[in-house]
Amino acid sequence: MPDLAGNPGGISQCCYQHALTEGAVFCGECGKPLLRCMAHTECGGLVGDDGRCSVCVRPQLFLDKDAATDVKAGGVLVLPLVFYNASGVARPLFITDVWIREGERPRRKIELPWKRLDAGGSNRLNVQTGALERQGRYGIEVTFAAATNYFMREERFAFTSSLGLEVEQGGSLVINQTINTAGVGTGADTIYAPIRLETVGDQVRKAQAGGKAAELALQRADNFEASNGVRGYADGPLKGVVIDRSARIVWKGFGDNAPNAGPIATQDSILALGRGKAVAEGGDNHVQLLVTDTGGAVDEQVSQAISRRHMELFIQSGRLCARVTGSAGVLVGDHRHGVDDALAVINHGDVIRILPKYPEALGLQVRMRAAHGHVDEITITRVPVIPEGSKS
Amino acid sequence: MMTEQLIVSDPRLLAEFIAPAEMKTFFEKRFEVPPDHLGMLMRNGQFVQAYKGAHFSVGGLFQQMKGLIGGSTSVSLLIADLKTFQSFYSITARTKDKVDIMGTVVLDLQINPEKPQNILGMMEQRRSLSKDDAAGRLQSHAWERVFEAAISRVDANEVRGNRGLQDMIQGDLMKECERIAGDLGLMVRAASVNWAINEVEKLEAGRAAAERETSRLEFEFANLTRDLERENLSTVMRINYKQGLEKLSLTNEDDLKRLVLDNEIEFSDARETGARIAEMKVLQHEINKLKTERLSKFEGELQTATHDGVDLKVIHERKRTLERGTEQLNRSHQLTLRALERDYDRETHELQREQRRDDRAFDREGRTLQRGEDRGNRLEDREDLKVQREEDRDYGFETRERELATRSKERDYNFDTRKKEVDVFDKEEYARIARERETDKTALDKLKGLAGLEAEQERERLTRRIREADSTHERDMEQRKLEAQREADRMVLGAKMTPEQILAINAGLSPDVAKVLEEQARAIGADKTAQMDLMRQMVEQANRQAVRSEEQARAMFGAGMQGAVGVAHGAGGKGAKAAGVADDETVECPKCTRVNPSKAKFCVGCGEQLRR
Repeated sequence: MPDLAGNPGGISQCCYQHALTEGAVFCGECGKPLLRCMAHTECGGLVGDDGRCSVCVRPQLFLDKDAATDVKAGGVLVLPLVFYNASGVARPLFITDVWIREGERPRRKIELPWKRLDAGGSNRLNVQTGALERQGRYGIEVTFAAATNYFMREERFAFTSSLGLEVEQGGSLVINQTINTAGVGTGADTIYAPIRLETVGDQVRKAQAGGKAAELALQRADNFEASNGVRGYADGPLKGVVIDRSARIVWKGFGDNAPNAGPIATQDSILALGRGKAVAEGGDNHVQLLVTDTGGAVDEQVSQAISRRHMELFIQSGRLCARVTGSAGVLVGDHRHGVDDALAVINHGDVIRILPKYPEALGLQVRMRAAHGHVDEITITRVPVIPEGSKS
Repeated sequence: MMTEQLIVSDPRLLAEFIAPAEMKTFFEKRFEVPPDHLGMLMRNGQFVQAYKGAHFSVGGLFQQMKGLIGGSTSVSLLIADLKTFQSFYSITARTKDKVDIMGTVVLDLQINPEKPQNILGMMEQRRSLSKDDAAGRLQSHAWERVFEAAISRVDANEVRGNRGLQDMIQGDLMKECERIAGDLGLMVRAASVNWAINEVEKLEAGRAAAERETSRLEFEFANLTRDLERENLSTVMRINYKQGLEKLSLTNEDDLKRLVLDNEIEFSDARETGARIAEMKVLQHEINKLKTERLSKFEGELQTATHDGVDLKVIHERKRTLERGTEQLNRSHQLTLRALERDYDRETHELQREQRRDDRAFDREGRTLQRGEDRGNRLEDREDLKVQREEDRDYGFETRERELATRSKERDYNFDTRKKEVDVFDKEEYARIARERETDKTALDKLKGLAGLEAEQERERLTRRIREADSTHERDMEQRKLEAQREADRMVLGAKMTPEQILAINAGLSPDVAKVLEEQARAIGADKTAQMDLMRQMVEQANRQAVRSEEQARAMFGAGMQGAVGVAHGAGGKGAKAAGVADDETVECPKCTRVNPSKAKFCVGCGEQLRR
């Protein structure tokens, strides 16, 4: 499993070292942005290009040792799967869905009796294939969605594993099952090959029990994630598109107080917006939101309606999300998000109205630039725009 | 207008031309081709259109007039049945073991809907094509190539239920059909052969029936034998003889008969006893069997448990080591306890010795006082004696008697005065000595009380120390047990790392160094968050100092760590400089003015390149 163990793609040792410095946003050695895991205070991990923290999310899939059975044409195969959470820190995983697909048949969803998978723990699941009608080689694909939670946030990922299965013809043949897991290189199939032995008479047909559980090579199912709504947008203009954690956020219309453009690289990977002062001025907010009148002067009375920390922006499971923390709530499209409905998924073209009572007073227009199914730049424009050279 | 349905005139036909006469009508005629048929319209010898489930109309006055003016058009219509049809025929073939077997081939054929017009190639000069003709074409070709070839690979007793063989025949037939009639618009949908019972199978069936019969008979025979044996074992006859045993021994069989008939001898049935004996034996056998089964099952489970990912031997070894450790600790605790007891005894002895010494000092003082008193008494006696002698001397000198009388009177007077004075002094001295003795006694009592108090306190202190040592030892033991348990759990669950260790390993430190850092963080950090923060600082520190081994890490802490601040500010006796970086070791970012270490190539605040 070269892609799930160790460092995820694109993270150097130097980045891990510089991530230890409080408030560091970029790696001092290689200059890359430090994309911390949402649970960085617990795991100390960074997020790779694929959005996964290799410390928190390390699932493994095994075929249990009792799996050796013979399969003949017309038969049904039961795969005793064992899910294992190999995370070294005490971060639980939640297996939310499991799908199976035999050959060219459509993918089937398997009902899961359990969900939580504690670190170092394993759960079992027996998955039954449909009837394998004809002899020959079958490709069996097991896909599952795994989620990791931290406070109110959740990241979801899908992983898949393929098994090659030879189905033999019926008749007086003894079939002895062997499992070869010597996958070479990324994406190698796990060969699950019955070896045919021709013998005379009715011999024992079961394979010898007592073998070891075979680990199945897992691969990130990124295409599946995008097309099935596990990550990225499931509807709207960016359907099937995923926002990378490294996507640049460009701030426009904030006058001279515009924050620096760049990815979300704060300690908790959250951008805080509100009436309170910005970090540069000694406050806690990334962006200070104040209502201004037509002359550009701050309207203090209306600005009082904005909470000190009014909302938080973050990227979750490939979507831009806003959590409303202010008492006044915000308006996204026609929907009002408040304390009871705090999480809002922000889509391309949405305008976040900061004060639902005064929708025209202050808004943030969000536009996203997508290429090849990935959003690499998000532009957030303040409405109304504060001209350059003036401070909000 | 009436619509006429066009289908093949005979169900045995596969395709048929509609006679032109049917189409030449005065009025326009409307035809309908049902969805399971295909109508192919031929105009002037060329297929122009194929209809499936369609309507079309031909003929009529307008068309005739149009033909008169513009010339006539020859139109014909071919109707083909698109449904699959079955064809049955018998085959005989020879198997690998040279047995002739018979079977019925079931062939599902269909006109290829993709190129139905090619069916013309099979119709030769006729106006129609029957299903039998179409199937017959295949039959002659398939005989040797398919059936003989397939069957000659298997033995006669393997043909039945052999799906592989059927698949092969079907596949070969499809291939043959594609070869022979693929271009002619015919295709095989399915093919199967139903095999008649062949000689070998007949023999095998007979043999199997005979074997079944034999085994049934054997089973019955075994049952009967067992019954007889049981009867034999459980039948015990007792002979009661009325005449005497010595006479019975002389009789032959005839005499025995006679004796029985004369009721001189009788057999009483003792079967119940025998049955009980047999039952007891069966029970004994069952018990033995169960014992053996359970023993072997337990051994098997033990074996499985040993090989089931957990090595019990290792765990037992570990347990024994722990038990040994526990015993050693117990012994060392006993030794410490004994040493403490010895200390206590010694100190008690010392106290007693001191008390005795004090007693002796008191006695000595008493004796000194006594001696002083004695000396006083002796002085007094000597004075009396001296006075007596002087008086005697005065008696001897009569001449000087008067003078002396006067002097004596004077002396007597002085003496009396002095005696009185001495008496008073003596009394005062006695009182003083008595007072001193009283004071000394009180002081001694006080001393004794104080010594006792001190001894009591000392005893309490020692008891407390023993208790504390006990509780510390117990805590230590508990801690060790917990650690051992944790270690065992870890062995079972597999190696795990703490978040602090992972943090350090991620940052490029070795597991040994990570462990040392974690120990220090745990030792200093108050809560979890503080530990993680501290850990970050320490990892940074260790990376700066390029710490690679456990010794280096320990040396780093040993050299100059003074609390959490010391860790952050660097080891080796460096001053408490903020962030552990000197001014000349930093560089300010020209873009965001953040202070970065001079080694940094990029600004950690804004990502600006600082140097190349």
